[in-house]
Amino acid sequence: MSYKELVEQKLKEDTSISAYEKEEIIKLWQDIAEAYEKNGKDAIRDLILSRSEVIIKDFIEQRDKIEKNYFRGGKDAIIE
Amino acid sequence: MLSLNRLKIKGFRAYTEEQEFIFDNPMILLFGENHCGKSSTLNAIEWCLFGNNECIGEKTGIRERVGWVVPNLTLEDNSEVFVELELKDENNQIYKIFRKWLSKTRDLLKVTLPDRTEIKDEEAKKKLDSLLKITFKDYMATIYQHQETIRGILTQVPKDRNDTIDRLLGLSDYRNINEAINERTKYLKDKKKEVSLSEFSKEIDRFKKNLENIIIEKKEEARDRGITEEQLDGVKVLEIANKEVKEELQKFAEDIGFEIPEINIPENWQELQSFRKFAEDLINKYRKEMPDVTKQKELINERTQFIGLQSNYEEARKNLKNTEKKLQDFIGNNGDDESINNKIAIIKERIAELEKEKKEINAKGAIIGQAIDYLKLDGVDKNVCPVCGKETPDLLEHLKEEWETKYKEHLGRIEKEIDNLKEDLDKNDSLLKEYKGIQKDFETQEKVLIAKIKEIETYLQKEIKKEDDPLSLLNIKLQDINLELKNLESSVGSKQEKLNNISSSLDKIKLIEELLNFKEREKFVEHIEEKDEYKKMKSLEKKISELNENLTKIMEAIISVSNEEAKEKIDVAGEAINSYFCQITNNPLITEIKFNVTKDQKNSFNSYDFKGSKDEDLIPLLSQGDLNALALSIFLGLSSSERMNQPFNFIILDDPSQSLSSGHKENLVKVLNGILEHRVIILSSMDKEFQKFLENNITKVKTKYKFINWTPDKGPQVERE
Repeated sequence: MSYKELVEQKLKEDTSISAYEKEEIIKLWQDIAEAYEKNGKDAIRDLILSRSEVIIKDFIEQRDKIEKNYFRGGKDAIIE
Repeated sequence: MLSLNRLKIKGFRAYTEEQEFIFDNPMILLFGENHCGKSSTLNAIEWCLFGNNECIGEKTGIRERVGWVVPNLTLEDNSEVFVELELKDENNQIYKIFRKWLSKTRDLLKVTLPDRTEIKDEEAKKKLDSLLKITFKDYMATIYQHQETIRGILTQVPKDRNDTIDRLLGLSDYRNINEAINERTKYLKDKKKEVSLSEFSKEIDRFKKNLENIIIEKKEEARDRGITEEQLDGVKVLEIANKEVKEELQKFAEDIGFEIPEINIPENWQELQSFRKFAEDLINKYRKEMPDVTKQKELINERTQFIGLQSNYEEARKNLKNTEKKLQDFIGNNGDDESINNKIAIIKERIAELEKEKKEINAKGAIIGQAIDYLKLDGVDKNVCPVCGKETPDLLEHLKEEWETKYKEHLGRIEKEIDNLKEDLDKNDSLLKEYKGIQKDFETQEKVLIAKIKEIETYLQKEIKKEDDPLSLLNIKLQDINLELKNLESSVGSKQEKLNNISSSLDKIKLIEELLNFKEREKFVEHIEEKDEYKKMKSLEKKISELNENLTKIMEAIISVSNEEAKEKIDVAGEAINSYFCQITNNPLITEIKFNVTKDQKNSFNSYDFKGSKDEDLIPLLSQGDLNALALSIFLGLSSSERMNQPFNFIILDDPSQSLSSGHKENLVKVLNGILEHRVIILSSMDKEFQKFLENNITKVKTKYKFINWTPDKGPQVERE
C-alpha cells in the first residue's frame, strides 16, 4: 500500500471521529496528498492557506458588515 | 526479478556523446576521479525508470535534486538527450525503456515489449509501473544507495540524522507532509485571534459603552437646546418637521410672493435626512432670491457704478487742471507759440545776414590768397601788384599781414556768431515743439472730461448744462440710493431671521434623529446574536477550528503510520542490518547493534536510536567510519531482505567508502562478496584503496569501466576493462 492509502486507512480506523467528520478528514487528506504529489511541500502550504484564508476572509467580511451597518464609529459619522 | 542488460546514455548530465554500458557480469565497477561522470551514469538508470516528475525536486528528499538539471549544460538547445535501458526478466524476456528529455516538465517515454511492440506515453508508463512495482522512494531506499544518505548519517545533529534514516527507510514523504502541515497549523493558531468571537464580543462591549456615553452627551445637548424628553420620539420629530419647517417655509414663500413649495414629510423618522436636505436647499434659495435681497443687490450695484463715475469724473477734471497749469507756466517762462515763432524768424534773418557777409569776406580772401601765391613764385617781382600793376614796396609782406590780421580774424568772429545763433535757433525749435505737446495734451484732457460728463448724463438720464456741477448731481443720486438701502435692510433682516429660525428647527430635528439612531443601535447591539451576520461568524469560527482539528488528526495519523512502517521495516531488516554492521566494523566493543524507532518528544516524528548489547546508546561511541558503515548496513539490510519484494536483481552503491577506515573497507568488500551470491552490484568509487580491495577480493567476475577524463565537448572518456 502506498503512504497515501496507509494514512487513509489509519484515519478510517480512528474511533474518536464520527463518520461524517471522518469523511471530511479523509477528503482533506486526499487533497493534501494530491497537492504533495504534484508540487511538494509548498503545494500543501498553499492548499491549507487558501482554505483557511477563505474562511478568515469571510469572517472578517461579516464582522466588517456589522461594524459598517451598525457600529459606524463616532457620534459625528452617523448622520449626514 | 529484473536484471540490467544494457545502458545507453546521450546528452544526460555529464554526457554529450552517446555512451553504452553493458552489464554482463555480477559486479560492475565504475572507477574514476570526481566529476568524470560516474554519478551521472548511475542517475541515468533511475531517470530512465522514473522520469522528471519523480527524480527532480524537493519531494525526492534529496537536497541535490532541488533544481537538478538533466540536459548537459554545454549542449545546444535542440540537442538530443536520452537514456535507454534494457531489462531482462526471469524468463529472459527483454524490455527496452527509452526516455527522451523534452523540457523541464516533459519527457517522452517509450517501452518496447519482448514481442517488439512499441508503446508510448501513458500506456508506456502504466506498463513500466506494473513491471517495476516499486516507487521511486523505495528504489532510493533499497536499490540505489545515494551519497547523501551516508553524509546525512554522519551528521551530529539528531534531527538531521533522523531525517536521513527516514529517507533511507523510504519514509521521507510522511516527514515532509507533516512538516508542511505543522507549519500551517502554527500559522492558523496565530490567526485564531482574527477569527474569534470572544475577541469580537470585547469589541461589542466597548462599542456599547461608547454608545451609552454618546447618548448621554446627546441628551444633554438636546436639553440645552430646549428639546423636551417627550420630543425625543420618532413620531414627535415628524410633527416638529411638519409644524416648524414645512408650514413655516410655505408661509414664508407666500410672504415673499413665491410659489408655495410642495414639501413631503416622510412616513418615518429614518427617512428624515432627505427631507432636511430638501428644506436646507429651499432656505438657501430663499436667502439668495427673495425680492428684497434681489433689490438690495441691484441698488448696491448701482451705487458702485455711481461711485465709479464720480471718481472717474474727478480724475479727469484734475488731469485737465494740471495740464492747464503746465501750459500757463510754460507761456510765462517762454512765451506762447507766436512769440517763439517771432524769435525764430529774427534769428534766421540775422544768420542770413552774417552768411552773406561771410561770403563776401571769403571772396576777398580768395583773391588775396591767389595774389600771395603768385608773388611767391620765382622770377616774379614781389613789389608789383599782379592785378593793377601798381608798384608797392613789400607788397607780399603787406598782403600776408592783411590776410592774417584783417581777414582771418573777421571771419572767425562772424562764424562764432553764426554758431551761437544756430544754437539759439535749436533751443527755440525745442520750445515750440514742447509747447505744441502741452497744447495737445490739454485738448485731449478736455475731450476726456466731456466724455465723462456724457457718461454721467446717461446714468442720470438728464442733460448736464454748463452751469451744472456733475459731482453734486451724482452725490444727490448716491444719497437716494443709500436711503433706499437703509430701508431695505430691516426688511431683509427680519426675513433672514425667519429663515434662521427654520434652519434652527432643522438642527433640532437632526439632533433628535441622531439620538434616535443611537438608541436604535443600542437595541441592535443587545440582540446582536440574533443577526444573520453574527450567526455566520459563529459558523466560520467553528469551521476554522474544525480545519485545525482535522489537520491535527491527519498529522497524528501520519506520525502513527510512519512509526509503524519504520518499525515494520526495522523488524524485517534489523537482523541483517546488525549482521552487516558487525561484519563491516568488526569492533570487539560493539557486538550487537539494535536499531529502534520511537517518537521524538517535541514533534512526535520518528526518532531512531541504536543500542548496544547492554542497551547503551551507541551513537556517541561510533566513529565517522562506523557511522558510514551503519548507513551502508541499513541500506544493505533493507535491500537484502526478501520481504521487501525487490523487483530488481541489482543494487547500486555510489561511493560507499567515503569515511571508512582501511579495515572497514576490507570488511565491506567481504560483505559485498557475500551479497554477490544473490545480487548484481553496480558500484562507483574514486577511492583507490577501496578499488584495490575490490579488485583483489571480489571473487565474482567483474566488469570495470574506467572514467579517465571528462571534457566539455566530449563528456566522460570511458574505457571498459
